[in-house]
Amino acid sequence: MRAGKRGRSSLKKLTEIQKRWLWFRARNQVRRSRRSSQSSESVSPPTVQQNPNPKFIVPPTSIIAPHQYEGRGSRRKLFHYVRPPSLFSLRRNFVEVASYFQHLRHQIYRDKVKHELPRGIDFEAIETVSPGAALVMAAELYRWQLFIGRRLHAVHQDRWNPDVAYIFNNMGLFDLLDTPNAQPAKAATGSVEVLRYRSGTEVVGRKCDDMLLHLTEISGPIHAEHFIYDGLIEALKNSKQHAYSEPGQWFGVPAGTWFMSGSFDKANKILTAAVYDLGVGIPHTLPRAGMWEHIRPVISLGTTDDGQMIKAAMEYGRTRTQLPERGNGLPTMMRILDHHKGYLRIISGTGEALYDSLSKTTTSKNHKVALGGTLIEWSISQ
Amino acid sequence: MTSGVAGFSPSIKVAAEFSRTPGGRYYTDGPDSGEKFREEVLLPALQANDIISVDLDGTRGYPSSFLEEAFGGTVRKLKLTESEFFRRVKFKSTGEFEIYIDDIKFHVKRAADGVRA
Repeated sequence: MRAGKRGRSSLKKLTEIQKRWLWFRARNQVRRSRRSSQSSESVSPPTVQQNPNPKFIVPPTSIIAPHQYEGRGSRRKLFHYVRPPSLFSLRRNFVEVASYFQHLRHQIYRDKVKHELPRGIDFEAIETVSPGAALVMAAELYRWQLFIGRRLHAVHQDRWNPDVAYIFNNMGLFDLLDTPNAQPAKAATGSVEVLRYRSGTEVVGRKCDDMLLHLTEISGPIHAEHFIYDGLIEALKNSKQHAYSEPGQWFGVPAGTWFMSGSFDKANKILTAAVYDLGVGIPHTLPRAGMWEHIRPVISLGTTDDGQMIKAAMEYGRTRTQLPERGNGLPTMMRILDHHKGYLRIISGTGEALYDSLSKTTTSKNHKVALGGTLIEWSISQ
Repeated sequence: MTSGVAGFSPSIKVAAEFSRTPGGRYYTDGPDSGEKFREEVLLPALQANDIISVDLDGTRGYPSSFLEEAFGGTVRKLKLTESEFFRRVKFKSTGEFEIYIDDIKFHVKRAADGVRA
């Protein structure tokens, strides 16, 4: 570079186009350097958790991944869609539904890949949805929205099954998420009437009372309904005191967060109530009694013993705190079934335990895939 | 607290004087917890009176952890025996709520055994 007449460089004057090009290049360089530094740091909103590094287990290769494809959203923008199973029920299709959630989490929360498309959920794939699975979906979408810091959009709503759209609308999913483009649902042809979600982070009796009030409005008076109230409070208390108790683990929602819903099947006269949390899972927090329970997971040949742990807690009462005055919560939840036909089902970790009121027995099983939270569900016949 | 007629023990109506929707165990769990009932209603009543009556009717229900913290916690705090507790605290309930008195007996016995241990 030669010094000019007044000691300045002799670079020729830049044109407007060149100046603009240099400006854009500098801006993009700053953005790229910010992105590369952010990819090694937390991407979760600062208000959520102290250790904001989302870490979810990679779904096992033995589990079939849900169908994924690229498609256009409502504004012709390209999205990467994850398609849920058409039978969206934890009772009838647990492995596919739990696997779907596990893959969805892995997609959303893993380190961002360059040029990766934004992700969406293809609701039109769902033909049947159970209230329990819908509750889990609402919780996962809530957390996803909190994570990305902006509202999710509903796409292809005109192609959704009307009964599925009705259930999600009536449950208040789009109010919970404040979805900007949610369309009102047409009347359902099915017989299931669902209540709006309730959620919170504290044990609030008024919310349980409110839900029971609305439940009796659609189902009629419920005999011994105070036992349902007691069970709901115990489930909320589990979320508050134990579910998010693992230090340093990322949950993505404020500690104590729970979601609650209820429904009534008019045709079969079956009432359900469910509570879900996004915590670490009941088996993870329970102490193991005796040598057998310590070696059982080791010799379980590739599976876990979460189901047996939940069953033991339901039958004998057990608590993370190991204090003698604690541990009665799960047995309390079964009390309503002394007065009604039905079942109490608890899914947590990879385990599932079900208490049936007719046989008065608790059965347990272990799945290959974890649900990713704890679902407590009552189903009683009116 | 409802004042009783002379010769009768003062009565606490939980639904009217505390909450119709009893909640969790501790203050930190949320509103209307067992700890709050014990600290703000039950213990002051026991400090002012030798014998009190607790009317359980009218609430939405009584979660196990609420009862344990409220009444079991009272036993632990005042280091009472089981018989002393039930001498000083009388319970009233009707119909299906009578089962909660059995729950309270269970929690009080465990708490008293823990105190003695």
